[in-house]
Amino acid sequence: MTREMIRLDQVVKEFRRGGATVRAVDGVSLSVAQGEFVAVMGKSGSGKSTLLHLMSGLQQPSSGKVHLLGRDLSRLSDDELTLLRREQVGFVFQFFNLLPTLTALENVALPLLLARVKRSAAEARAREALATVGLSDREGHKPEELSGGQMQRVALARALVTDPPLLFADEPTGNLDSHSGEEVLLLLKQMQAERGQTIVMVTHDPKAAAYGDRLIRMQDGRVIDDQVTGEGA
Amino acid sequence: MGQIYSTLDRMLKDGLVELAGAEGADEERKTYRITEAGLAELERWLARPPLKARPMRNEIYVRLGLLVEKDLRRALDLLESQRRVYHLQMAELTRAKIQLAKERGPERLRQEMMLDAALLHVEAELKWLDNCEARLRARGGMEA
Amino acid sequence: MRTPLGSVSQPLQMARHYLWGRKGRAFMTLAGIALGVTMVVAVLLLNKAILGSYENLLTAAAGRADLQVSATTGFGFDERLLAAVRETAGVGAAAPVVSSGAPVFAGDRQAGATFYGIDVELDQKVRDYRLTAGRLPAADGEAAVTTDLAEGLGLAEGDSFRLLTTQGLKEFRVVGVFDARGTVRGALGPFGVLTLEAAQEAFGKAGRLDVIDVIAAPGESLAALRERLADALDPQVRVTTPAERSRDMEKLLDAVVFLLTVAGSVSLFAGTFIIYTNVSMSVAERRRELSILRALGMRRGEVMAVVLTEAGLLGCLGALAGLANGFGMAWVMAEQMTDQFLNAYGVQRAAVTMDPAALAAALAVGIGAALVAACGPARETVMVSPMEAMRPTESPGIDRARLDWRRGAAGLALMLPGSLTIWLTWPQNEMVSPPVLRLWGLMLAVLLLGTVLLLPLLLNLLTRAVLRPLLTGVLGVTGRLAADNLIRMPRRTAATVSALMVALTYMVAMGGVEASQMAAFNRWFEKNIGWDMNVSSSYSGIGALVEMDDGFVQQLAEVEGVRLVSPQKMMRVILSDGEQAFMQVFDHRLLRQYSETPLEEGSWPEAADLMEQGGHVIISPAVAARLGLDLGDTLELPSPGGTLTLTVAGIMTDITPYGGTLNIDRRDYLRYWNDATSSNVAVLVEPGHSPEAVRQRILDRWGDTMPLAIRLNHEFWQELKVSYDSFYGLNEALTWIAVLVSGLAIANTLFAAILERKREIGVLRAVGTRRGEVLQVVLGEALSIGLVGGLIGSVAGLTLQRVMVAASQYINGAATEWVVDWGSLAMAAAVALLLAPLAGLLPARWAARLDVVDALRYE
Ligand SMILES: Nc1ncnc2c1ncn2[C@@H]1O[C@H](COP(=O)(O)OP(=O)(O)O)[C@@H](O)[C@H]1O
Ligand SMILES: [Mg+2]
Repeated sequence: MTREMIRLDQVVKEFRRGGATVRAVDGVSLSVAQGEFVAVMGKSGSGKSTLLHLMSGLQQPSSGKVHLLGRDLSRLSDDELTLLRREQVGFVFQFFNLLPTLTALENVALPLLLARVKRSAAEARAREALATVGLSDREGHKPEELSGGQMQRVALARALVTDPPLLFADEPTGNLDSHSGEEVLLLLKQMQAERGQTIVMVTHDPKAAAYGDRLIRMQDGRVIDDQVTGEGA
Repeated sequence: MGQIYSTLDRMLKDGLVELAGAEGADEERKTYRITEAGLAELERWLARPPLKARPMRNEIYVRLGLLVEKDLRRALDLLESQRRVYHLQMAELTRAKIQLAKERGPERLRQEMMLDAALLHVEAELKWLDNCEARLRARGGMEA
Repeated sequence: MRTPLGSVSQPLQMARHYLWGRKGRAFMTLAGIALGVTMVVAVLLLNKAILGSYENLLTAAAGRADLQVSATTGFGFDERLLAAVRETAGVGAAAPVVSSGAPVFAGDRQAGATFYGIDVELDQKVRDYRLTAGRLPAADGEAAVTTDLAEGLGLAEGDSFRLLTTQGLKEFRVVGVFDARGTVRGALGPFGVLTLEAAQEAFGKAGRLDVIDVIAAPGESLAALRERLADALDPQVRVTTPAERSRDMEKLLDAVVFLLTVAGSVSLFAGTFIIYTNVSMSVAERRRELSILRALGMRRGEVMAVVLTEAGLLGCLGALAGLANGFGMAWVMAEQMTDQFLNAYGVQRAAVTMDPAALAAALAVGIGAALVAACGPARETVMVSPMEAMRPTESPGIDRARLDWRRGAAGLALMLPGSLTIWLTWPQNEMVSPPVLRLWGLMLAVLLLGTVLLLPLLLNLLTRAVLRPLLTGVLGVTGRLAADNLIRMPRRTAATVSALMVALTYMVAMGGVEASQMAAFNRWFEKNIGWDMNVSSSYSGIGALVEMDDGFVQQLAEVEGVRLVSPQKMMRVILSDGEQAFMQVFDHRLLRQYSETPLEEGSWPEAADLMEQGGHVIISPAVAARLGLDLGDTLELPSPGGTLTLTVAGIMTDITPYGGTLNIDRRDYLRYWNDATSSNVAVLVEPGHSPEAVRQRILDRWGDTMPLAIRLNHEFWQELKVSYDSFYGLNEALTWIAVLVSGLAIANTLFAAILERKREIGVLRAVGTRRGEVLQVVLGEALSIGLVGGLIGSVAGLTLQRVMVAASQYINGAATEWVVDWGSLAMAAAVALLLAPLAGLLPARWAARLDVVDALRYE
C-alpha cells in the first residue's frame, strides 16, 4: 500500500584509517516507507551520518545493497546519482552550507538553476519556498547577513524547492539555539504533514528525535533499536 | 481531601483567611475569604523560590537498586526498556506541543511551559539512564 | 609550545616538517621560485657577458697601455704616425698593432681566431706573453698562438697552419705557444700574433696601423700627455683611454642592452609575482593550522617566524636552483648569440661567468619575494583571533570581495604621471635621446607597478560588469559561481592575473617589436639588396673579417656568366661628434644598376647622380640627428688623406643596428683612403645563367687557394632573418618561461581556492551538481583569469611595443613603423584562452573528483 522509499540490505561500510579498518556501518537492514519521519539517534561515532550518506547515495557501501525509490544505487553512475539527488532528494546539514557568494534567494534556487530551469521560474519557486520557511523578507541577504536559524531555514528552503519526495537532515539543529531548533523541526514536521515527504533525520538530541514518528537507535554501526514512536504507538 | 482542610484550619488560625459565613442551604460548604495579611503572604510566597528539589520518587530507582546487586544483565535490559518508554513519552509530549503550537488563547503559554518541564524531565531521565548504563558496564567489565 | 624568544631552531624545524609533509605543494612553490629566479639570472648574466665581452675586446688590445691612438677613419691610419707619437714628449713607450679576425685551417681542422700584428720588442713593453714553448714571431711566415688555439687545431711548435688573408690562404709556421688564460685578450677566445709587417700584408693594411698603445713616461700627467698627443696628430686618429673606447662600444650595443634590460625588468616583475602567488598560497592554505598554533599559545611573532622561516627556506632553495638554471640558460643563449649575431662585432666568445652580483640578485629576488609574499597572508592570519580563523563555518574571502578603491587609486596615481611623462617626452621628429630613454625605462616600470596595483579593482569591476553576466549567460549558475569565486580573493587572484599579464605583455610587445622591425627590414631588403650574389672571403654575420684585394675582384669579373661585379666596403668611422658610425662604400655607377638606396628624404636617381659626381654622402636619420644635418648640408669626414667635406645627397632608411650609417662613393674613398680592397663584392649574373651554377664556377675556380663565402640573394635574406630570430629567440625563451610559470601560478591559485572552498564544493555536489559542472566552475574561474590577463596583457603589450618601437629608432636609428602584430596577439589570445584552462584542468579534476562526504566533513 505505502511505497517503499528506502531499503537497506545487510549494508556494511568500512573505512581504512592507517592500518586499521573501521566499520562505521555494520550490517544494517531496514526499510523506510513513504511519508515516514525517521529519527536516527546514537552517540557520536556510532555511524549515523555514514548511514545517512549511504541512504542518500553520497557514499557507496562496502557491501550490501541500497535501494532508493526502487533503484539500486550501486548500479548508478556518479552523474545519475547526482541527478537523483538533484531531483528526488533534499539535504539539510548541521553547518549551514549555503554558498556565501549567493543571496538567500539564489541559494534556494540553486538546484533549479542547476537543472536549467528558467531563471524567472526558478526564482518564483524559490520565493515560494522562502515564504514557506517564513523568510520572504530576507531574499536579497547574503548568508553572512543571516542568523544561524535563518541560515538553516534557507537551507531547508533549498532542500524543499524541488519538492523532493525525500528529505535527509544531518543534525539540522545541532548548531542552533533551542528556539531556532524548534522552528526548524516544526517546519520539517509541517513538510511531512502537508507534502507527504519522507524524512530521515540524524540527531543525537532526544528532544529533536521526538519529532519523528519512528526512532532508530544506533551503536557501533549497528541498529540496536527500531521503534515506532508516532501516533498510535 | 482531608489535607486541604487541615491546611485551611492552620491558615485560619494564622489569620491569613477568614470564614465568609455559611450561605444558603449547603451546610457542608464553607466559604473562606483571604485577609489583608493573607494577600501579603501570598505575594511573598509567589516570589520565593522553592528551596528543595523534587524528591526522587520514580519506581525505576528502586527496581534498579535491587537488580544491580542481583543481575547486571537484567538491570541493563531494564534500562533499555525504560529508555523506550521515555522516548515514546517524549514523542507524545512533542506531539502535544506541536498541536498546541496551532492553538491560540491564554491557556497556551501555561501549557507550553508545563510541556517543556515535562520534556526536560524526561530528557534528564534519559541522560540518567545513559549514565547508569555506562556505570553498570564499567562495573561488569563490559564495553560501552 | 612556547619557544624562547630569539630561538631560531624551532621555527626552522617546524618549517622543515611542513615542507617535507607536503612535498608536492612545496615542489610546486619551489618550481615557481626557481623559474622566476631563472629568468632574472639568465638576463642578468647574459647582459653582463655581452657587455663584458666588449669591454674585454677593447681593454684586451690595450694591455698596460695608458692611452690608445686609434683611427677615426675606419680602415686604419698611416703608420708614419708612430714616429710622431714616439717623438711626442712624455711618451714612455708606444706599440703599434694591426688586428683582424680571420679563419685558420690546419689539416682538416678549422677555427676562427683573432690575429694581432705586433712589433715584438715594443709590444712586450705593453703586454706579457707567457710562452710555454718556443718564442714570439720574428719574421714573415712565423706565428705564435695561444694554447687553446694550438689545442683546437692540433698544432705544436714547428707545425704549420693556413691563414686567410686578403690575397687568399697563406701558410704560417708556429714558432711559439703561449698561455693567455687569465688575460683580457684571452677572454675573447683563441688568438695568435704575427709580425707587424706580416699582419699588415695579410689583412690588406700595408702602411697602416689600427692602434698604437701608449705608455706614459714615469711621472707624466695623462691629461697633459693626451692633450699633447692630440695636438701632434691629425684628425684621422684620436687619443683615448682604453676605458673610453669600451664605452664607445657599449653604445653600439645599446640595442641589445636596452632590450635585455627591458627583458630583465619584465622577468624581475614576472618572477616576483610568481614567487608571490606561490608562497602566499601556501601560507593561506595553512590559515587554520597556524590559528591552532596561536590558540595553543604561540605568540604572533612566533607564528610569523615560523611562516617567514618557511618562506625564506623555500626562497633560498628556489633561488639556488634558479641560479644554476639561469646560468645554464645564459650560457646557451650566449653561445647562440655569439654564433648568430655578436661576432659581427668581432666577438669570438661572450663568456658567461657566475659572479657575486648575480648570486646576490638571485637570492634577493628569491628570498625577498618569498618573504614579502608570505608577510601579507601571515599577518592576516595572526591578526584575526585564532577562534575566528578556526570556525568551520567561516567562508573564506567573502568579506574581501568588496571593491579595493584605495589600492586602485594608488595604482591610478602611479599610472598617470607614468603615461604623462612618456606622452610629454614623446619625440616629435627627432629621435629619442638616451636620458629620455632611461626615463622611459623607469616610467614603464612605474606603469607596470600601477597596473598591478589597479588590477584587483579592475578585476573586480570587470568581473561584475562583464565576466559575471557573460559566464552566467554561457554556463548558467556554474558560470555565475566561477565569476563570484574569482573575486573572493581579489588580491591573490590579481597577483596571478598579473603574472599572466606580464608574460603576455612581454609576448605581445616583443612580438610587435619584432614584427615592426621585420616589416621595415623586408621593405629595406627588397630595395636595397639587388645583387644576385655576394662574395666575401669569409664572413660571420654581415661583416667580413678579411678584406679582398683588387686583383681578386678583377678575376671574379672574368668568370663565365658574371655580368657585373661591384666591390663594396664596410667599416666603422668616428664622426665629428666623437661617436661611431657605420660607413658603406659603393660604386654608385654600378650600384644603381642593381639596387636602390631607400630614401626618407631626397629622391633616388637624383641622389645616385650626385653620388657619382663625388663629394656627396647619403646619411641615415641617426647621423642626421646626431650632427643636425639636413639635405644639402655638409659633413666633415676625417680620412687618411685629409678631411673630406661631403654634401648630403639623401637621408636613407636604415635598419642596421650600428647607431648611424653613411654611404660614400668608391671614387671618393679610393682618393682619400688609398685603399683598393673590398669587404665583399656584389655580383650580377648574365641572363640565362643560374646564380647557383655561377657560384659553383667561382668556387671551383678558387678552390683551395681561397675559401669563399658566397651568398645568393635569398640566402642572405634568410641569414639576416636568422640573426633577427636568434636575437628575438632570447625574448621568446623568456616569454615562454614566463608563460609556463604563470600557468603554474594559475594552477596554484586554483588549488588553494579549492582547498579553501572544499566544503562548498561538497554542498554543491550534495544538492545535485554533477562532476562536469564542478569542473565548469573551476575552469570558468581559470578561463576568467586567462581572459582578464590576456585582455590587460594585450593592451599593455601594445602600449609597451609602441614605446619600444619609438625607442628602437634611437637605438638603431632605424625607421621602424608601429606594426600591429596579429600573430603575437593571436598567440597571446591563444595562450590566455588555452593556458589558463589547461592550468586549471588539474585543479578542476581534483575538485570534481573530491569525495562528497569528505568535502562536507572538511574543516
Ligand atoms: N571518511 C572516513 N574515514 C575514516 N573513518 C571514517 C570516515 N567517515 C567516518 N569514519 C568513522 O566511522 C565512524 C562513524 O562515523 P559517523 O558516521 O560520522 O558517526 P556519527 O555521525 O554517528 O557521529 C567513526 O568512527 C568515524 O571516525
Ligand atoms: Mg555525524
